[in-house]
Amino acid sequence: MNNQQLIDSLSRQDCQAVRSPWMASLMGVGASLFFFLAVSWYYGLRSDLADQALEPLFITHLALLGGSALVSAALACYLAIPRMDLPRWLPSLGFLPLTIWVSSLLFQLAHTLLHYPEQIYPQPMDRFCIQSFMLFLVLPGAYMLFQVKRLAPVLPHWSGALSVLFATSMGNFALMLLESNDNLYHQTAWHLIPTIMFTLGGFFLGPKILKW
Amino acid sequence: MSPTPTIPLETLMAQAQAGDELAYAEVLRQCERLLHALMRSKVSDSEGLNDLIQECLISIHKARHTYQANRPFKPWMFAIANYRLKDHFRGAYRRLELEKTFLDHLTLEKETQDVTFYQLQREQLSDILEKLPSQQRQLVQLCKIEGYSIRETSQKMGMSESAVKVALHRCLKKITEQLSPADE
Repeated sequence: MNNQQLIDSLSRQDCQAVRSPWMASLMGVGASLFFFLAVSWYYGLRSDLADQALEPLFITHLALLGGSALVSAALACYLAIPRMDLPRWLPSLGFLPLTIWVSSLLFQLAHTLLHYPEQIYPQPMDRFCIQSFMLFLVLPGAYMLFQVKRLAPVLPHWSGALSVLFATSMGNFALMLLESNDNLYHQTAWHLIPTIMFTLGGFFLGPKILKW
Repeated sequence: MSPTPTIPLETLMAQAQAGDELAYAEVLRQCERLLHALMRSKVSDSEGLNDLIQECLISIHKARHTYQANRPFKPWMFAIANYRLKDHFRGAYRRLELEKTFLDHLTLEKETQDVTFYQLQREQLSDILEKLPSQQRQLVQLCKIEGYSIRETSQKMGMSESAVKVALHRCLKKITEQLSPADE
């Protein structure tokens, strides 16, 4: 088939409605919130939520994780629109709320280790955390990847990482409201490390998953 | 309304997204021209270049729902073209690696086999080629020894591409038939 024949056959095909990246990210966030409501209805919110809501650090962490989910969802879809004029720093903006959350957690960990080392003690693997992460990865995460794939991701590493980061941020956000274990060792080993590992996985698997 | 090249690509693409087939065909034609200019210096093989342009056109077609009418067209199109170009080079390097491994393996294999067999076969092939009519000999020479593509051979010999394919097929069949009794 020569180029002219190809052009003729392509131009005869039906046109598709224009898709907005914002609408795609809103759909991902909406589906994820719906999933979160279903999970919280099934498991129930943590019993001490009213007391925790008065803690500034708890509210800050919650806001950071919610912000991380929103920013990463918006950027994952925005980066899936082909553009040559994107600033180089833009993809890394999606990781800013997560970086602040990680730094805050690590600072807290270092402070506690220095002043109250007896409070840090290893805890066994928590199946509930891993289950929740996997649930958020498998359902809202996969849905977000599907939304991104329906656009035209030309930066698949970043789109993949940000889609997975969205799912893990939502997972962390949900766990903060569902799980009453605030132990720093637990937070670091079973919340922070899986978040980083899964996001790295999304970065490396992005080109394979988002191939179009 | 029949679109003309003076209409900006942004307007043409907006018309195409509204369902104007002619405008869309014009957009793709202009894209082909721009892609050719972009890739000519990067891909030397003419068949590879044509394949890559076609891949880019299909990608532009697949991604046409992501173009937003208020944005400039060319950065959108070149972003897709760059993505496909990188994909193409990645694939080419991978093939090169595979070929290198294959050739290394082949060399090793050949070293361990009886080289006189290849020498005999080569002499026999030269004899067969000598006996072929000059046009058929030239065809095999160009396509199979010097590595020209079917298109380039057809241009050099003033034949159509399909005629070259048919003649070459017949010629190779004849050579194989003459070679096989010696193999047995």
